Amino acid sequence: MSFDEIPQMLVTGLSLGLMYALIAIGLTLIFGVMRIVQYGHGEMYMLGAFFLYYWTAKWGLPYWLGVAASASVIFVLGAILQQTLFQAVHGRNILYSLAIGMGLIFIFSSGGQIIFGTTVKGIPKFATGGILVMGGFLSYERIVISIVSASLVVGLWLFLQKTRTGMAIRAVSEDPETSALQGIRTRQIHWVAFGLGSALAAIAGCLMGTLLSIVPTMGFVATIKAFMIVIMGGLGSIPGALVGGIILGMIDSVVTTVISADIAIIMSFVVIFLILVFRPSGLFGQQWT
Amino acid sequence: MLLEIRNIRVHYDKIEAVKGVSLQLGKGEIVTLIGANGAGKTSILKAISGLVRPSAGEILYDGADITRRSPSDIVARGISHVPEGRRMFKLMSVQDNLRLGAYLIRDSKVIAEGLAWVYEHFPILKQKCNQLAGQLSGGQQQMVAIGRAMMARPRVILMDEPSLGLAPIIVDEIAAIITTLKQSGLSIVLVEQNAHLALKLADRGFVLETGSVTLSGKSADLLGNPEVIRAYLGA
Repeated sequence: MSFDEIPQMLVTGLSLGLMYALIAIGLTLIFGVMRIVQYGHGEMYMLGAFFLYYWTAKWGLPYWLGVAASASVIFVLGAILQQTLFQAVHGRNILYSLAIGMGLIFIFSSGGQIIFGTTVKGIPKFATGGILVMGGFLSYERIVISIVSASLVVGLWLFLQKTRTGMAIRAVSEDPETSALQGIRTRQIHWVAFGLGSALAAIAGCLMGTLLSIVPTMGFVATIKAFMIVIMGGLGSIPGALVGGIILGMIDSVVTTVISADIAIIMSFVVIFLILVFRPSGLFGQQWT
Repeated sequence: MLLEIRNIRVHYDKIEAVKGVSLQLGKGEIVTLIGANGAGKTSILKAISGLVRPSAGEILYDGADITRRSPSDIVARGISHVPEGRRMFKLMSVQDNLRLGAYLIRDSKVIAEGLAWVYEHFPILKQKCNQLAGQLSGGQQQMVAIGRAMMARPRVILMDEPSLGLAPIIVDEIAAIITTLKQSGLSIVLVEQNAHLALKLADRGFVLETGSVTLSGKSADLLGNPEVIRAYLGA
C-alpha cells in the first residue's frame, strides 16, 4: 500500500459504510416499531438493485428516476409484506417472524435466480471520470453516491425528529400502548415504518449495485451484515446503525486494501464481538422490554 | 350523563377482571374508583379508552356507543387517558411528549395554545421543555402525563393512580391541578389506591372488589361509611 491509496481507501470505506448504514437503519426502524428482526430485509436490497438494473439496462430509463421508482416499489412491497405476513404474527414469539423472514430469503433469492438468471450483472454507470486527491483517484460516481447516502441519512433523521409521522414512529417504537392513547393509529405506523425501512434497503441496493455488481443471492449477506451492524450499534438505535455501518465499511475498505477481503470479513466480526463483550447492549444500546 | 358504562365485562383470556360494572359520569363531575390491586379499576379505564375490548356491556359517550371503537377514535371524540405509571416517551423531549398529546390536532394555533396552557399551569415544564422526559422526577413526569392528555383538548380525562409513588408535597400539587381541571369544566374518572385523597377530590365514588362494585355513593357518605373506613381509610 502507498500513501496515494489512503484517500481512496477512506472514501471507499465511507461510501460502503453509508450504504451499510442505510440497510441497517431500515432494519432497526422495523425492529423499533414491530419488535421483530426482518431476516428477509436483504431481499428488499436485492430486489431494489434488480429493479434499477431492468429500469436502466433493459428499458433505458433515467438513472435517478429509477432509484426513486425502485424505492417506491419496494416501499409498497414492504408495506404489503407487513400487512399480510408480519401483522399476522405481531406480538407473538419472535420465532414466528424469524420463520417468515427465512422463508422470504429462499422465496426471493431462488425466485430471483429463476427470473433474473444466475449470471452476475452490472447496473450501468451514471457518471464517468473522477478526480485526483493527493495522488489517489476518486470516481465522481463514488463521490455522488456518498453524498446521496449521507443526505438520505440526514433527511431520515429530520423526518423522524420533525414531522408528525416521524414522531409517531418514534413514539410507537418506545411504547405502542401509550402511543395509541395519543390517538396514533399504531397499525398504520407499522406498515409505514416497514415500507420505509424496506425502501431504504432498496436504495442501498441501487447504489451498491452501481458501484459493485449484482446477483439474486446477494440479499442474505446484506441481512447478516445489517443485523450485525444493528446489534453492534444497539437494537433500535438509528445513530447506532449509522456509526456501526461506517465502522463496518471502514474495516471492509481498509483491511481489504491493506491485507485482503477474507481477512476483512474476519476482522469485522472480531471487532463486533469485542464491542459486544465490552458493551453488551451495543454502542447506543438501551434495554428493550 | 356525559359518560355511561352499562354492565361491562372484561376478560383476559379466561380470567374475568371486570364482572359487570355500571357507572355514570356527569359533566363537570369527578367520580373515583377505589379498591385494592386487581379489583379491575385499570381494566375499566382501558375499556373506556379502547385499549381493551369489553366482552359484554356498553359504553356510551355523549349519546354515542363507543364500546368497540379504536383508541384513536375515542381520543378524537374527547376522552384522554393518563395511564398508570405516567408512561413517558422517555427518549423524547418534554415538548415532544406534549406535542404527541395533540397528535390528532392539525391546527398549529390550537397546539400552541395547548402548550401555553400546560406551561402556565406547570411552569417547571417550560424550563425543562427540551430535556428528555425520562430524566424528570416522578412528579414532573406526572405533570407531563396530565399536560399531554390536556393537549388533546378533552372533555373527559381518565386518570390512573396519579399519586402513586409521589412525595406527599407533590401529591398535594397534583390534587390541586385535578381541582383546577374540574373547575374548568372537565369531567374526570379518577382511579386511586389513596382512597382518602380520591374521596376528598371526587363528587361520587365506587368501591370495587374483584371486578364488581360493592359500594357506591356520594364521596362524603363513603368517607363516613364504616366499611370504607375499615377497609380503605385505615381508621
